[in-house]
Amino acid sequence: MTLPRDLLTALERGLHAPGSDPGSAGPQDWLGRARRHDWKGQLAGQLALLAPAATSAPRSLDATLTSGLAAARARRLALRSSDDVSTLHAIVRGGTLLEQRAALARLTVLARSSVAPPIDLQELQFDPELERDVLLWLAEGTGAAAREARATLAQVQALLERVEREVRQVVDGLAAVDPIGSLEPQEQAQVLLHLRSASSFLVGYSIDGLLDALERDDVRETSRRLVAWRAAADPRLLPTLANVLLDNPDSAVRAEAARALSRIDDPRVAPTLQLAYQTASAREERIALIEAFGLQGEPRDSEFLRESLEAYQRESALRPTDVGPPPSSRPRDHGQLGLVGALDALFDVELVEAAVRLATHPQAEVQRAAIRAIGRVGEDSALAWLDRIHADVPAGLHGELAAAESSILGRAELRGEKPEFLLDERRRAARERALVRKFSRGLDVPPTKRHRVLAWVLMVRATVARWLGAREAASELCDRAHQADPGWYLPPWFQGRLWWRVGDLPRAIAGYRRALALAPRRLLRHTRWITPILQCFVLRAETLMAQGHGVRAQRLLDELWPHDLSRAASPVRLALRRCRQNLALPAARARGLVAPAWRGDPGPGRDTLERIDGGNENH
Amino acid sequence: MAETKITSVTVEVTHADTSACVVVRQPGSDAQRVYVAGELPPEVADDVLRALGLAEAAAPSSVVGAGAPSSRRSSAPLTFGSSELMSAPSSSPDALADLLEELATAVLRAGHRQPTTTVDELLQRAWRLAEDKTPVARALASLEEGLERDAPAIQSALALAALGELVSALRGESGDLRGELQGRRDSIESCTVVEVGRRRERGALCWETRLLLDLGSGHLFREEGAIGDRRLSRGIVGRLLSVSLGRRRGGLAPPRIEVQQYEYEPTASAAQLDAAGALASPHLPELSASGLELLLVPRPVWLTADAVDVADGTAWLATGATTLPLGDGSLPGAIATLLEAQGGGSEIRAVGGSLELRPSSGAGSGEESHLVLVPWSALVEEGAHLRLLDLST
Repeated sequence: MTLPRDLLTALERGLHAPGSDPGSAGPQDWLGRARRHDWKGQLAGQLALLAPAATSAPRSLDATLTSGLAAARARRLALRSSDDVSTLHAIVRGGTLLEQRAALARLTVLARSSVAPPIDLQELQFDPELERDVLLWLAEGTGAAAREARATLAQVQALLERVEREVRQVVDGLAAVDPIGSLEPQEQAQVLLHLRSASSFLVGYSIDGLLDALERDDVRETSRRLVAWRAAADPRLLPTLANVLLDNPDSAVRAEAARALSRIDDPRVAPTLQLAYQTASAREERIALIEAFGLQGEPRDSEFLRESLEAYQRESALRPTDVGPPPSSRPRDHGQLGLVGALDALFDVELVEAAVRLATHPQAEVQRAAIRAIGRVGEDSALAWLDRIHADVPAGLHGELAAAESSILGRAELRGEKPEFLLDERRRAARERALVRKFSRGLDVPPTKRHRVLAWVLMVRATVARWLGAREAASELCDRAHQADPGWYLPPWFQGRLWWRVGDLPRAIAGYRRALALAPRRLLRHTRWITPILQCFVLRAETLMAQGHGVRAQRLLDELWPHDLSRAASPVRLALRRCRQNLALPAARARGLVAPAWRGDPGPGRDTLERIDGGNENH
Repeated sequence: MAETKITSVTVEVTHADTSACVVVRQPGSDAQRVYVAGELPPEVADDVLRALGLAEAAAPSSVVGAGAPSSRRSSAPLTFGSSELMSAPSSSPDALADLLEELATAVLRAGHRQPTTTVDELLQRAWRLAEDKTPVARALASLEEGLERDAPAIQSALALAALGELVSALRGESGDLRGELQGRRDSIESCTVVEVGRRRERGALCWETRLLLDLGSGHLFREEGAIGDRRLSRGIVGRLLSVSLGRRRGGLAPPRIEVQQYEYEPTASAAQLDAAGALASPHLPELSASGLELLLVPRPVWLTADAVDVADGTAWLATGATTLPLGDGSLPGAIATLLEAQGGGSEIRAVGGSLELRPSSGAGSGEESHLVLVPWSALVEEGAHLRLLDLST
């Protein structure tokens, strides 16, 4: 499909063409019917035409990242002019932070003109960073909630005016105490949250405080101020944040600057993050940039994040749990919080495994982030994951579970699926969980007692459950068996095979990946074992390529590099080689190494692979 | 929108697949200087060198290892070659001029796609001699960029042409470019200025340039320094500085100043911003005949703005009777931000930025290089409110 010229014109002008009806180019017109991967490339190409004839942009920018970020921003711009209230409501429930902010801004405009019908607020859970946007939206409505919102906004406005008067006294030399620093924590948070409503003078004073801390090389104070700026999301802070991100020598400061910057919806943010991404080397900074790209709408480097999470979980498992202060009073592990923050910002089904394990972490904030990550995956299977952890989550976080569920259903609505169907699936999964409880009665596995026999018994029951068609139950039993004997490769391999046969490739890869890590030689020795594993990876890579995620596909195939695949069936090896060639071709074409018209022999692709897999139940 | 050719810049770039030449015409006369970069046969290169008056400096004995391919990014200093190459650098203008001439000759002899140990070594020596002379550093950075494997030949040709300008300035008795390189310092009287824009260059040269507008006289000043230099005044774009002690340095317009004692407010008031908008110039400043100085010192300007529009894939700024192409360069997203601000119903009253010379990227021959305005900031009127939109990142 091609993008209409008027849309491009609107994009050039921020979808607010002078004299045009701002609601005429809503996402309902094109966003819903445009498959993301289909128009991303075209959009990038056409947006490139807008660039001046001679730019000195760095050469090593990843084109998929650039186009993905441009597409995400185009979606947000479209949301800001949409009249499709149901889409806006779904975004408010299941979108990213910036999408939610854009949808709330549009709903505020629509509520002002009495177009948008009121919605039930009880089922909505908002991020605290969205408090100002929600208040502005509510204030346009009617009823008690609107009156309360208007009163709160009036209080905040009065607070901002008072603070500005006091700041002017400091600037004029009539007072010496920092008016913002001397506020009560609650008022300070309100001032920073509503900084977008404040005058440029107050914003300039706030920036001056940061420059002062930078001059003193006070990393702690600088980081504290940058963290406080996250909720502000004020474009007036952007130049300062960009300078800190690109020029500060301290990676911790740069990481905080990236987090604060990524919450601003501005065309300068994405290229600035890309510049920083090209040179980021410190782990902490890289994780912050992963979070930043996730917030900007183009998840990146989820493999790096998954590996970091797994490494953290391994380290956590080695730490003694019965010594030291209780979890709530332990000092905050900033590296861990950075990981969890990044996990929270991503929408990647391949991270669900890690998130589910973190959902039973002793620290509530880790649990909260993990639940939100599962919710933001937005795929149907995430409902089953949520149900699975329901029993392990303390009652205080059940609201987060409800919000995550609402988010998943919201994203399902955006995809055009019917929530009723998902709820039926969920009931079926609940029946299977009951079955698991019946199968594994008395076989709960404390983490300190690993037992091979117990694992073996659980695997027998998983096999029975598999014969009975209870796949969720069988998968959960495999998880328990893996918990019982973490060194046994069979449970994850069985789990991978289970999901591979029903075509759930992300979960199949998660299982196979764990099995390969445990017993690579054993699995690589037999053709009948390694062949389906290889097929699974190749099909997943092809799917990712078709969705425009070439880098992720490449990284997935790179996981197979260390292994000797000579025992795999030759057509599958050929398919792998062809897949790698196809991945290399776009880059080669970009460098002019291959003529654009060259297409090559498609070789054995998905059809061939699926023919080889005779036992696949889907076919 | 009708394209307006900028006729005051008379640098012409002609390029083929592997070589390029830059013709700098002197207005009102037939005199011209030609710079060539690319893969030339040795005898042609010698002819060109003689035509350029570089034959003396290009004596074969002084160019060690010309034509020998090597990695330009050697991490260890060379341990062979003439003692002249290994000698300690001298910072006299003549020594720098000699070295730049030698560098231009080595690049011409080797061809821009065959970097040699000599070019690499001469570049390193030139960087050491450049010290705080930012025009030299910009020329060297541009040349290095032009010598990259996938860079077009015109890039290095323009850089060579700029080196020629530098050599002339360093050997000349006077001139604004020489003043920029040497720089006398005079004290200035007190003044009240608003910073109306700034730009950070990151790369081989880490440099920050700020554009200050004197609200009393309407004069523009540059405040320059390395990124993070604490001698630069503190604060953000849009602040008001009451300068009580400062120094002014000679050189190209607008003059450079060093602010030594000052008081400042975080932001200028609406009335002061209004005054700053009224002081914006509707006309482009006078540019030198060759325009090559813009490669060495981008010219900061504060221009009135009528509209920003996109035509033929390029963004244009209409100012007074002229339209200028906009380039974002090292300020990514700046043009998109301007377009969004305008599309959101705001009126752009003035734009601060720098005039720069860019090589044409078209495929034809005989094209003119073109002038672009890189926007640093914009004075935006939103309803009844004025605000200075800082576009720097």
